[in-house]
Amino acid sequence: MVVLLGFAAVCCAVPAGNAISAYVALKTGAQDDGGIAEGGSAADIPPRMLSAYKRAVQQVGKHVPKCQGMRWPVLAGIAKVESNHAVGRNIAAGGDIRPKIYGVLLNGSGAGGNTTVFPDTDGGKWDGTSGGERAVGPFQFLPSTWEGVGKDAGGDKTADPHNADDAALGAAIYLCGNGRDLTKRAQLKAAIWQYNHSGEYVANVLGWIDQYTAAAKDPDLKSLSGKVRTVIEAALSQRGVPYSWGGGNAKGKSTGICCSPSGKSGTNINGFDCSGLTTYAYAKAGISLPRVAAAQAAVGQRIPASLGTLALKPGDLVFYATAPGRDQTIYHVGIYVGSGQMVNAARPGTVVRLDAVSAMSGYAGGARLL
Amino acid sequence: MTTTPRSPRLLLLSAVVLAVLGIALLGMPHGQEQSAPEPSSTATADPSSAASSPPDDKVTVKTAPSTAPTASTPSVLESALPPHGEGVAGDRAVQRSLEEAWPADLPAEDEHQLLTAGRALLRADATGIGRAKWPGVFRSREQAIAPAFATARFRIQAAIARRDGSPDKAVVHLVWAGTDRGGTFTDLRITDLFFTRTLKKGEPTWTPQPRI
Repeated sequence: MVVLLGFAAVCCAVPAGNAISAYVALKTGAQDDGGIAEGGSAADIPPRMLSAYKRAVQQVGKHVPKCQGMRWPVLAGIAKVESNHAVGRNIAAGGDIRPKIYGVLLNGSGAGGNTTVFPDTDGGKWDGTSGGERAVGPFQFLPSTWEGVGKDAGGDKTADPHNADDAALGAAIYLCGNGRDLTKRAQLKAAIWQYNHSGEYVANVLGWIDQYTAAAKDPDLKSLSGKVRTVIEAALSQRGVPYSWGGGNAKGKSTGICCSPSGKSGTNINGFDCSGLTTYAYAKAGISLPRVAAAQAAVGQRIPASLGTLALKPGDLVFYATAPGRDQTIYHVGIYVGSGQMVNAARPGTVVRLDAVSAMSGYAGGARLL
Repeated sequence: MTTTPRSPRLLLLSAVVLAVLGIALLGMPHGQEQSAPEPSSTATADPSSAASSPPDDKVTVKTAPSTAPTASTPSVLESALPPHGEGVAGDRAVQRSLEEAWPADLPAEDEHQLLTAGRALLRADATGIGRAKWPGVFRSREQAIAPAFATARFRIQAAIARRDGSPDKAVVHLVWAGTDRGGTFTDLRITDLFFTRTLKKGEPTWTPQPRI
């Protein structure tokens, strides 16, 4: 990911750019410390929130007729980052979210990272205070922004940023702007940028959008044949087997070794590490791989990262590096199964599973051996 | 133990080391033995041919597969880099691998200046802290700041500054970790920040470049 510099400003522009949000710090949204953006699928989203996203996609055309490419994963990517889909809140059948979600008060105190005094605009109508301004709802609209884009989606004649349907529709309208084509990556980036003027924010949201997009389509395993099928089936058959540092080989799972840099030992865990799993799966097809991920990148036909993940085919090895393009820095490998997903042993504390290729930063291309 | 030696001398060396390790290694689970690299690093559809063929020149494996282990960690994993979730303990290995894979090519003073700027710029972009120091990058100061990542647990795991095609262009490559607004913690995140050398009050300085 590349930081996008040269932008106009910080997030939460008010009048013109008027985007949204202040740091929500939802404890309910806190996840584990594994370092991977896990859970980017529809199953990760409260059903009522997901239905709100889908409804907004259907309705946004009425408000921004020229808008193209609005999809529920786009809204899910924003809401994931802004409020973790309001997980932990009660969402009524009508879409009202309680307790209401508030960001930090933007008074320049430094709390939650806010360093700018932001005067009140709504008298507390939406943000519950007339003493200043704070972002509200699952999409973290600033009240001043909401005044410009908020629409009623549910038919109660009230556009409420604390209502899932209304908030999702407001976000869709805001992202569509004057008629963006969100199928174009550059315009999608611009839409997200409008939401929060941070290159890292844009990269983060895009990662979630890609994950939701990938997870929305199941890999077509039925059409696989030959060694590709053999390799993928072998790897998928190990789903649920624990990660073990140094574990796994051509014969299957095995106890690993001591220890990863932080001291995580595989000596008592019968399982696989990332390259142990690939070694096993490819051995089922009669192919012997070197043991570590970086070395596995040196075999077969290399697929450069610059071609993007669309260049991958089922059965390809998928690599991750701290400096993509320099294979010595590859630290992870999985097996591409199609539809933007891979089967892999991700890290200590997890099991062999499917992950979106975009779940990790540092995509370093692939290798085709089949 | 872990591989087929390339020569009797190496075999002897391996045997000696194994003897020293003694019970510790004898007691190792079978997984370690099984995790030994193949004699050839080249993938092949015929394992038997792999076992008899010499290493392929095109394979530049850094795993030292034929040497005896020097510690309790088998040589097979000597080059294995930290996976996700390793915490601060893995950062040194990440930094070292960057420096080895991407050799330094800038004068030390430039590298230092770029690293300082790159770290500060990433922190400002991700957390909002210190944006006032970069008015040319973060322009609209009247806008409210809602950081994309929390300051708590924000950590730059590794960073290098390298030339970017010409003496007056450079890239700062950063590997970092942080918790986003929704509460998701991720590490091994990668950001490249690009700079050009410009004159500021007659003094050469590195200026961050727009990427949009």
